[in-house]
Order: sequence, then structure tokens, then C-alpha cells
Amino acid sequence: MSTDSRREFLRKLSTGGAMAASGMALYSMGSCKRPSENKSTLLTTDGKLVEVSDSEIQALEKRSVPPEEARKGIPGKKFVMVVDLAKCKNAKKCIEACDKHHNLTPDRPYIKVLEMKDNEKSAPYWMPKKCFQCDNPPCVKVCPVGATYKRTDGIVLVDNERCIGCRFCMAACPYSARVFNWGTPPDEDMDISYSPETSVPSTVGTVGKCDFCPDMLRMNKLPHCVTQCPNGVIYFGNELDDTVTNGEETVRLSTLLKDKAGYRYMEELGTEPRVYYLPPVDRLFPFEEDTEAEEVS
Amino acid sequence: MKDLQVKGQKFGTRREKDVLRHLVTTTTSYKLWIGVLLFFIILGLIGYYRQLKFGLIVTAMRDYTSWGIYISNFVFFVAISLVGSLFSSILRLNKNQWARPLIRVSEMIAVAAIICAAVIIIVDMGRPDRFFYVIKYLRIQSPIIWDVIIISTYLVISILLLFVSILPDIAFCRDNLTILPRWKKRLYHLLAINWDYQPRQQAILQKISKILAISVLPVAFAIHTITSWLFATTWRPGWDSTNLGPYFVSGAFMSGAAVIIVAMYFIRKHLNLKPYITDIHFDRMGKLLVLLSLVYLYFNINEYLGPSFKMVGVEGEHITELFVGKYAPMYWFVQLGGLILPIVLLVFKKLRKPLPMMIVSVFVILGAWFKRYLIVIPSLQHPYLPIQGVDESYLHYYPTWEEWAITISSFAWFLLIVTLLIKLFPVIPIHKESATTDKKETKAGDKKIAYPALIIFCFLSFSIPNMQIANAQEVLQDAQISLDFRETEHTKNIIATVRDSANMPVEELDLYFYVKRTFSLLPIGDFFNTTDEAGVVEIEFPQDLPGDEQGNVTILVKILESDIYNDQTVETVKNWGVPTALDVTYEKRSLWAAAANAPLPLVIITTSLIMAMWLLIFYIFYLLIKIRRMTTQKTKRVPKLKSV
Repeated sequence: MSTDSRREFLRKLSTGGAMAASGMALYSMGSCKRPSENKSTLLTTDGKLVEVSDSEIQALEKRSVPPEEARKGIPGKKFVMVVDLAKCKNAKKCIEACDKHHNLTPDRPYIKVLEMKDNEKSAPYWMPKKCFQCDNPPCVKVCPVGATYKRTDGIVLVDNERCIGCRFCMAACPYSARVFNWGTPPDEDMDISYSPETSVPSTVGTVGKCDFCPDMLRMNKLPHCVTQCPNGVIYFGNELDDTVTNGEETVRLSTLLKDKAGYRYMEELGTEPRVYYLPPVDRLFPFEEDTEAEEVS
Repeated sequence: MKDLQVKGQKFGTRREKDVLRHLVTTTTSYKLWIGVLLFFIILGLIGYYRQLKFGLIVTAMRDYTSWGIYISNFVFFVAISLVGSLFSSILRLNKNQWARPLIRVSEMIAVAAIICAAVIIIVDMGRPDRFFYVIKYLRIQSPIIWDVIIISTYLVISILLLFVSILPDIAFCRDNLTILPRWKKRLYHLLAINWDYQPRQQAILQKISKILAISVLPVAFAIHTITSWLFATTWRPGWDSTNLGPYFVSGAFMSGAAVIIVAMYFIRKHLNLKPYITDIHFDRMGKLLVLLSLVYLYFNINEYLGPSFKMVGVEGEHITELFVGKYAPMYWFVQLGGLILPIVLLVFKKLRKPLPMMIVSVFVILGAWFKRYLIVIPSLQHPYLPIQGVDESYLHYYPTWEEWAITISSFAWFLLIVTLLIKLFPVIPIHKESATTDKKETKAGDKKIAYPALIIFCFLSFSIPNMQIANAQEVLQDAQISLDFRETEHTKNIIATVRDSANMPVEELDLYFYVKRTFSLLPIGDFFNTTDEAGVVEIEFPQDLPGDEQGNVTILVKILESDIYNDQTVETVKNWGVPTALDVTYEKRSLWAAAANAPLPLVIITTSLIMAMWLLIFYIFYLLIKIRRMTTQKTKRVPKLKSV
């Protein structure tokens, strides 16, 4: 089999109506396999056998959910994140992993690690900030075309095939979580089909933001920022399980929030974020100024 | 009689000649003026071509300052368009006869401004190619949708208002202007909809203009109030205000009046209409401007006093920036030059003369434009979370030449539309008393100026919106775990028994108990769960742990990394969890729900308002068609252009 015909097959898979059936098969295959150059033999819709390397299958999984399906959410899940501010030392691995996964340039990341200082006398701390995936999302309220929407699993996604680029959601978000593709993004011409669940490729003139990596969640895998954090700062889980994990440690969500006085940023706005913070007390690391990053406020 | 002729066109009266002269003659200064406007329009088109090609990257807007001068310019034009309603509704309903010569020019300005506003909002879109998604995927919950609906409604009403007021004069032009080019004659013939001065036609026209005069008022208030809601429905400092609606509306009336004064000045000068737009008109417009400025001043004080007294967080930063910071020069120019100055100067009768008033009005218009700049841009630069870790270009906003070119060309478009309307149609009614009984051109007119201001004030006071709103090693042995479950009223215990391959109890072995969760295994039991001499370990299952919909939980018991035994797992499903209720909030009607789940009151209110307004508009169309059909009984007036 030539590379071309495999590509062709993959493209058919990702775009065609055979998606639902073959998607399930691929899904179960992918979840039990390690990334290697193993090859699998698959049956195409027109009855031919093709050999596909597993890395290509994984690349396909990333874009397996078409926009209409991506509106519904993963059944029986309510995703939630807890960020332990006592553990963050601004290693920025979450940003790097996110940028890589979403093909972002370093000047406009989805995740930001902010230097915070609550008042004159209190100590500064690092605050990793993503989209808060609010349960009362101001951005979704104002969207004129439903290009950004709230799913049953709590995630707020952007469909950049519908976004008209009015940027009202950016004005409405009190947490500055959204970024805009002002010019042509580097990945716009990538030969992959778009899904709101992967947010790639980006499109000029549309809005993007942190999406909690639903493509990973569909495989019961943690988002990239969680797994890539060297200090276990970010806990992630299904609220309906009452359990969160940072990849190493698994804890009851309710116990964690109770014991460590978890809070949500700017509760008073009534946006009901799905991201909780644990106060920066009993720090693991001393605060060190970021020497590389330019500092403005 | 010779002086009633212009280039072979005969006029019946002096007034006809004065009012219609510019329709039949074209001056060099007019051509030059159109040339200048076209130059700026082309410059703007080049800018917009570049924006279409490269995206909004050609602007200075970035993720923080995500709205720029396009939006402030949009707000500006919406504001200007309100002036049509001021004259053709508020002043007319109050029988301010003095204002009648100004009605048409105000309506022409309103039509031009609302067209420009509608176009600018498309220019600001990242994906103008998806404009019709606004209709295809319409979400009634979004204030943008409200704005789109109200702008299109107001556009139609403005055009109707203008049309109804010039209809008899179009017919007059059709019948009496003989030296026009063919296309113009055809245009008049078409637009005159068979008007032949029948009393029945006149009665219908009276009716239409009365309906329009009343209906335009709520629409005009709505258009700018809804535009203010684009800002007031967010948490941005300076926008998160319940005062914003009336603040915008009052500012709109003030800037609109200033635009009228400037228009009056130039029309009077270039069309030689001094006998019709007199110093008295300027005097009264001056008083009106002072009154409207005072109303706007009142809402300005309301807008800034509260936040500057409290100085809360980012709101305080924003106020500081405006009062004494980066934006202070612009802020004080706007407040002093564009608001205080007209009040202070125009209270003097001596200054209520054409030239000084025109200059003051230019300041008011500049102030009004920069005011909208100050409303849109600084607010976006004070988010709740600090701006860090972004490209340097994201930190400030200096509009690029493309933005300026497009903005300036929007002014050129505006002026071009106004100019062409004036060139095609008489600005001043041809017959002084053709419409209503305006026999009493009262001296009490002065006092009447107070009424419109009072109405605006009352309306605004009432309309303040309340928004808020494993790895195995061969040396290791196998062990077997068997599970028992004991349930009492208050406790649920898991009892695990470990036996080796010889079926002997295993002592001193650590077991690990887990519950399966979405991403990982949640440890339960104590920190160490070590078997006793009987090979038994008992742990308590947590009481309140969620299970699936039926309350099932998957319990795992493991031997891990033991020195003697292989790793092993036993797994069992137990109905010990708390059943999880399926989330139904997604199906509920809410502001953030999908279009199909919009809140019912919102759907009912918006739909009925739109229906009411558009029924009225269709009714007016019906009446206009009725006028057109009344042509069968020929009156003595035979149109001179019957051949056309």
C-alpha cells in the first residue's frame, strides 16, 4: 500500500459517513495501544484492506468528532479542574504542551501563568489560568450564532466553522480567556479535517480558547496540561465521580476542596466556573521572578 | 419673470426657484466636493481590500483591545441617526413649526448615518463572508441579534419617513422640471408613485406620516439603548453600568443636533437658502443644543460620579486612566470642548449665529466621536486579570492607517449619501403649507423647544434599564484474593481475604483498595491495609461516593509490588454508590442555551415587538400602494412626462 492511498483512506474516514461505525472500532483500538510504529490492517468502506500505522490512527482520533456531534458532550460526565496554587512554580510545561497540541504560537497561548499579588503585603504567587468553562457562561450568552456553546459535560467549545468573528464573546469574558485569529494562523492549511473538539486547524477571523482537550477526554485520557505538569499542580476529573487526579494522585474532589479551602476566581460574578483554585499556602517552592517574560500589568 | 428662470427651467414662484435650483444646475464646487469624497472612499476601499486579504491583523486590535475604532465609529453613526426621530417625531408632535424646514435634512442625515452604521459593523466582522449566519443560526438571546433587528427596522422606518415627507415634492419635480436628463425624470416618475395631488391621497399620506412620527420614537430610543446593551451586558469597567442606555441616547440627541447645525450652515451657504434657513433657525437650534447638552451632562455626571467615588478595583483604574492618566487629554477635550463649551457659549444670544454655532457644533461632533473612542477602548484595556505573557503589540492600541482610512471613508460615504440626497430632492419643502395647518408660526416657539428636551428627559428617566441586568518476576508466587461484603445500617465494609497457592492465609501483606473513576482509580480504605494472621483485612467503604445512574461502583482490590507475590487485581461491581442524577440543566431554557432553548419571556417579548413594528411597516407599504393605485380618475393636472 502506498502512502497516498492510506492518506486517502484516512481522509475518507475522517470526512465520510462511515465515521460512526469505524470511529468506534478505531476508538477501542487506540485506547489499548501504546504509541509505536505498529501497523494495523483496516477494512475500508469499499471493501479494501489497508495497512495503517498506529500513529496515524491516533492522529485520526484527534479529529474524529464532527461539529454536530461535538455540540452534545460526552454522556455522563461533568468535567472539573482544580489548580493547586501552592505547587505551581511557573515551569510553563502546561503552556508548552497546550501550544503544541493546539498548534499555537508562543505569543498568544490558550493557557497563561500569571504572576499574582493579592495586596501590597501578601506574597506573590503563580496562577495558571485556562478557560474556566463556566456553568453560566457570559460568552455563550452573547454569541449571536451559537458558534460557542455549552455542552452536557460542562465544556464550552467554539465552532470556528460557524464563528462570524464579532468578538462579543471576548468582550463578555471577564477572565480574558479567549484569543482571536487576527491573521492567518500557521496551521490553517494543515491537511486535517476540523473538529471543535480539537480546535485545529485554526481559522483566520475566528475565536479560539482552551477546550479541556475533549479529544483526549473521549479516550478517558487527561488533558495535556494536566499530564505535562512536572509538579502535579493541575487536578482534573469528572465531577459526577467526585474524584480528581493530577495523573499521580487521585483524591475525592469534595475532600480536596474542603480540606484545602478551594475557591473559584471571582465567585461574585456568578459565572460559576468549573475551575477551582487551592490557595497558595504552604508552598512547595519559593516564589521566583520570571526573568524571561516581559512584565506588564 | 426672467429672474424666475434657471438654464431654461421656468419656475412658478421665487420659492420654487430657490428650493429647486440646485436640482437642475451642477456647480464646479459640487463636482470638486464629490471628487474629494470619492478620493477618501477609494482610500478606504484599499484599506478594506487589505483587511479582507490579510484578516483583521492589519488593524491594531489584538486579544485585549478586541474592539477598536470600528466599533466606536459604529456607535457614533447610530447616535447620529437618532436625529431623524428628533425632528420628524419629537419636534413635529410638539408642533414646533419653526423646525419644519429642517425635517428633511435631518431625515436625510438619519438615513445616511444608519446605512453607514450597518456597513461599519460588517467591516468589523472577522468573517464578513458569514454575515448571513446571523439569520441562519440566529440566537435571540444575543444582544447583537437585537441590534441587527432594530437597525434594520430603523433603516426601513427612516427611509419611509424621508420618502413620505418628500413624496409631494417628487411629484412636483416630475411635473415641473423640464430640463432634466432622462434618468432623473424616470426616477421622479417612479418614486412619485402616481401622486396627483388628490385629497384622498393627501389624507392617506397624512395618516402615514402621523403613524411614522409616533412609531419612530420608540424605535429610535431602542436602537441606541440596545447598542448600549452591547456594552452594558458585560463586566468591563465603564460598561458595567445601568446608566448606559439613557446616557447613550441623550448623547446621541446632542451630537445629532450638532450635525444638523453643521449641515444647516453648509446647505444654506451653498444652496443659497438663506431666506428659508434663517438666523432664527440657528438661534433656536442653539437653544435646543444647550438643552440637549444639559441633559447629556446630567447623565455624564451619573456615569462617572459613582465609580470615581468608590474607586473599586479595575473600575477605579479605568477612572484614574481617564481623569489623570493616559487618556486624560482626550477625556478632558471631550468633556470640556464637546459638552461644557456648547453650554457655556450658546447661552449667549450673540453667539447663536450661524458661524460661531457651526464651529461649536464641529467641536461637539469631534467630542462625540472621541467620546465613543473613550467608551470602547480604555474599558477593554483594564481586564480583571493582569495582562501578562502576550506579545508586545497586545499591550496598547494605536489604530493603523487601514483603520483610519476605512473610518474616514465611512465619513465620506456618509457625506456622499447626504449630498446625493440633497442634490436629487428638495431639502426645503417646495410649498410652505402643503402638509398641515401651520398657520400659527408662533412666537411661543421658543418655549416649545423645552418640550422635546423634557420628553427626552422623562423618557430617559423611565427607561433606565435594570440589567444586570505490572511486571512479573518468575520467583514470585501467586496469591488469591477473595472478597466479602458486610453492610449494616450505617456502614459498608469490604472484607478481603488473601490465600497463597497452598490455600494458606497470607499475613502482613498490603492490599490496595480502589474505586474506578473516569480517569484514574480512587484509593479507599486506610493508608496501609495490611492482612492479619487470618489473611483478612477489612476496610470501610465511603458512605457518600457517587456511583453510576443505578449507584453501581466498580471496586478493585490489588496486590502491588510485593516482594513475595505477583501483582494481582480482583474487580467487582457493587451497588454501594450514590446514584448520579442525569444532568438536565442542558435542556433548560436559559440565556446561554442553544437558540431553540431561549427563555420564553424573551422569545415572546422580542417576537411581539418585532411583529408589531413590522406590521406597522407593512401597513404603511399597503397605504403607499393604495396611493399609487389612485391614479385612475385623472385630475386636470396632466403630467408633462407622460411619454416616459
